[in-house]
Amino acid sequence: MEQESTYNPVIRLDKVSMRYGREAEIFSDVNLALEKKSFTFLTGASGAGKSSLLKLIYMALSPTRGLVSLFGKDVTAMDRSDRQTLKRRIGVVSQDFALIPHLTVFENVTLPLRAAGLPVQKFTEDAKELLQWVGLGEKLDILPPTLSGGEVQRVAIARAVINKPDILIADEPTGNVDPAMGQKLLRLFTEMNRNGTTVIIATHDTSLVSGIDADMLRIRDKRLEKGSAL
Amino acid sequence: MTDKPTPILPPGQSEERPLFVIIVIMSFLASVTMIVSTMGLRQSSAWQEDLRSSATVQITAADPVEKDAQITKALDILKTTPGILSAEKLTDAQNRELLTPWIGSLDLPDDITVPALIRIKTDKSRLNPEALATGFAKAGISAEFDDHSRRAKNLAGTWRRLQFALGFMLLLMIGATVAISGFATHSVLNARQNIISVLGQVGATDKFVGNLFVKRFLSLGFKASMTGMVLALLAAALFTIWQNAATDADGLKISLQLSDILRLIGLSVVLGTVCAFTAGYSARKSVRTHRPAL
Ligand SMILES: Nc1ncnc2c1ncn2[C@@H]1O[C@H](COP(=O)(O)OP(=O)(O)OP(=O)(O)O)[C@@H](O)[C@H]1O
Ligand SMILES: [Mg+2]
Repeated sequence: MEQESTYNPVIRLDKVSMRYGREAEIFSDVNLALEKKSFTFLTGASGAGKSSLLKLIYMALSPTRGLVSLFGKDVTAMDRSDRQTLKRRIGVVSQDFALIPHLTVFENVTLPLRAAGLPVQKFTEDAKELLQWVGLGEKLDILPPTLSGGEVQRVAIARAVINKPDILIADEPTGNVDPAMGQKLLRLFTEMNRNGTTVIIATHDTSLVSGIDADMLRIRDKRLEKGSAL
Repeated sequence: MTDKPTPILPPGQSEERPLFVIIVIMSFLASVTMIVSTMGLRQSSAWQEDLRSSATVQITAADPVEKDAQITKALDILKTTPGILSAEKLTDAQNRELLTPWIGSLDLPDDITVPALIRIKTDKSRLNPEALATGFAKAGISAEFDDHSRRAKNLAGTWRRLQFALGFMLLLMIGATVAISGFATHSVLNARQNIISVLGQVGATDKFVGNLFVKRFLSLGFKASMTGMVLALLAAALFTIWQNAATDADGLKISLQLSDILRLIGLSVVLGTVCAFTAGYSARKSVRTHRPAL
């Protein structure tokens, strides 16, 4: 991971260190460069810091030291509003899924469009098709609290991809679904990747990782190392 | 599909009800203040007008015979003076009546000298008080002419100061509306941290979040302030009924004109808008400090 990048990576961490509050550092001097259209799995023991690393990338956390750049721009030095609009180019499936409980499945999925000020009606068909594809075509008007764990997960995934983001970041996106659905969702990610999206997925799911040709990263001892399958 | 999207910030009773009640109260107080101020101003200009168009001549001679003679002479002069519309000697009874507010209704002994008063209606534009005074002096009349201008001026001054105080009270009420709206916004923000952070994740700007608050509090603010205004009008109507039924009432009447109503509506609109935009502003400001540093 220490190689000097001559190309312009889409995601780049430079000597990044991070800690929560006054606790010990979770990573020290981590470097990372992910090219456009790359597909990466991030693994590591529970508590190793996978979610934290992804949060650094999708700008939900800021590093204690070091630089985080997206699309060649240092996000820590960016204007608050520029950073906010930059988030529209990043689809995120967080580990807790973070659906809004009083909005319907359809409204949760189309929230990124609404937040970007886009006319939701124009994308109604796209959203329906997407929800159909993840097996939720019949649940458009359902509220999240009545969905199963796996269904919540799929809503979160649909929301992450509705914008056709340049970067897709997913934290354990298949933890709650059966292997068949897991594979189907993975196909959604690889499909997007083929169309140009840079994908990074944190997972424990060995069956997910083994199926496809992807880069492997692993967090161990506060360092990021090139890994092989678990 | 649902035609109308669900509001991203769900309406919540816990923040909304107190906010509604307080804005109703603020709007009620502000409307009452405005009504009182308008009525008072109008009443005071009527009184000033009355004062300005009348004057009093007081014959100061002490000797009763001399006094009566001077009154007759004064009335003659007044009749021919330009700008005097009418002049009328007050009877002793009227005179005493005038004094009642100051010395009570006790029967004055007859031998107490009550100053003789002539009440005149004037047309200020044509009356020349100096010429009148010279005329009186030439005729040997010892009289004091009072055109009430000092009292009218004092009344106007008092009302100006009162208006200023009432205007200041209106500002305080608007200030209270700002404070309570900001407070309600913070409690909504705290209660909806999860929604705010999801919005941040999907790329909503601070402005977008602020607008959610504006939308949420705009109709609430208007409804509350209009309610307060209607209650104030009802209170005014009740006061009028009460005043009309009372035997100890003077002429103070609440009669609102269209322009007054429009101003009250304007006031409610201001309060509603203040509520909504304070909410938007404080939401935009506090998401900056609430959300993670990035
Ligand atoms: N908000 C927080 N405040 C303090 N410490 C935290 C916070 N979030 C995570 N941590 C700590 O940081 C470390 C890394 O957490 P993280 O969630 O990144 O791990 P992870 O690799 O995603 O684990 P898992 O596989 O269980 O999801 C853990 O020790 C965790 O306790
Ligand atoms: Mg995690």
